[in-house]
Amino acid sequence: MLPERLVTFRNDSAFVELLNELSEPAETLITTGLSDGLNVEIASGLIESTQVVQRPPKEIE
Amino acid sequence: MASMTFITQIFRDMRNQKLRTLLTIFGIVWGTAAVILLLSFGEGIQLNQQKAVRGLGEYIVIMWPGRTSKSFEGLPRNRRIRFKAQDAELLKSVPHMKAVSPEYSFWNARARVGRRDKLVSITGCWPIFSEIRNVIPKEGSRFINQEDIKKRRRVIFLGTDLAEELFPDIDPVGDYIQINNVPFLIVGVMKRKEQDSSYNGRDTRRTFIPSTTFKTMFGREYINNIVFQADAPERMPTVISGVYEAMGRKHKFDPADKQALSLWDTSEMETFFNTFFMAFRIFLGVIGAFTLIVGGIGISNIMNVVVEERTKEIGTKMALGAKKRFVRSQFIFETMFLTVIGGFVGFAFSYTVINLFPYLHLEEYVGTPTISVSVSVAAVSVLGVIGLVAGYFPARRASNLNPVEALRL
Repeated sequence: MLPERLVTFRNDSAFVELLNELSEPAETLITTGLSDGLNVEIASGLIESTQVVQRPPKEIE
Repeated sequence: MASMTFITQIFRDMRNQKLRTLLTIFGIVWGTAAVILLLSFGEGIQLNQQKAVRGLGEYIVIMWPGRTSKSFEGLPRNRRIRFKAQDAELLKSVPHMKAVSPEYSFWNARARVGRRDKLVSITGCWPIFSEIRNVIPKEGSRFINQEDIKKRRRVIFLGTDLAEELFPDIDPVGDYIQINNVPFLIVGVMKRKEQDSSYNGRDTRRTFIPSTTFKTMFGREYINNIVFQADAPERMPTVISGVYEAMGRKHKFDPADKQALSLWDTSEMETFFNTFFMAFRIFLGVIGAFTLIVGGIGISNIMNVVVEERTKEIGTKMALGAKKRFVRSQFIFETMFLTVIGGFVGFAFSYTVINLFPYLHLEEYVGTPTISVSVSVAAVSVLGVIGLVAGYFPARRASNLNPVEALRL
């Protein structure tokens, strides 16, 4: 289970951002299961207790 | 060695003429503060305005359907053009197009939460709308996503003010709201923003739902408008002509027929603002610089008086073999010294004002003034030039004195 706001859906695929070896956020493909709109079930692509990148809201400059 | 003599002389002179020195320095302090404060407030106001302009989106176009004004391929003029969501799909392939979203609108829908009741306007759009129009979800929120579109989920994103009015004191995310008696799950609330122009009302009072849900719920075939963004601001004209091309082909109108589509290009607004603020800042800078020049004239006058008073001393020095250069640099040095002190105090004063300013809570109107690098460079260079010029003329006068004449006084 993951908050759905952390998942990006694009062309029928789902992605989350994880930190790579260089500590930079990198997109990882996942497959999702059921969702209630707020939280989404992760079917595969992510192990439990992995830290997912959460970006702060964009600032208008 | 020479500089030590200068300094002791300056201090002696300053001690003897406390009031005069103080007034001279005050002129420079005032001038410096004027330059810095005007420029940094100008910059603060510009950034603030820019933020408000960009509250609508950064270099975007809002496009409504119009009526043809030319006959085309046997079709009459004055034909009404109408958009469907597929038109937005089509525009994705226009060269240099960064993002497109259709926009469905429904005004005066009834939104109900418990006993609270409000008339709201509903927008049906794509997820990318958030980026185009800077409708940014606040922390712990999300905008409509592709899954919502695909599954026609009944999810809703609320504008900041609306969320606060319907859910005072609580975070509405996860709660339900009834729109015309249909329950919608609230998935996000907009982060507060400034927005100085709008269509269909301010974003802070609007609600956003997936375009597909909108179409199903209100049974709308046609969309109200399309919003789009070029991949770079300078490509906007190319993109716009590409849009006329593509839409002309689809809806059978002449791409040169500007009235077939009605476009609001906000990049024009931004260009206008940039030009306006450039002029505004030059104006402020010039006012500040003139204040400083007046201070410089003051210092120059005082130095002239000093030269007059010290004629005897200069005569003695020159009679003992002091070079013209020595006398000249003494006076320039003294002027520069006063200018630097005045400039420093002026800087400190402005710095204090600017740092205390946020406590007045006026950011909404005038933004946050900042002493930027460009402001400092401008102030320091104006100060330097004024110090030099103000010192040079009295110094030249002093160094051109004839020692015999000077001693005879």
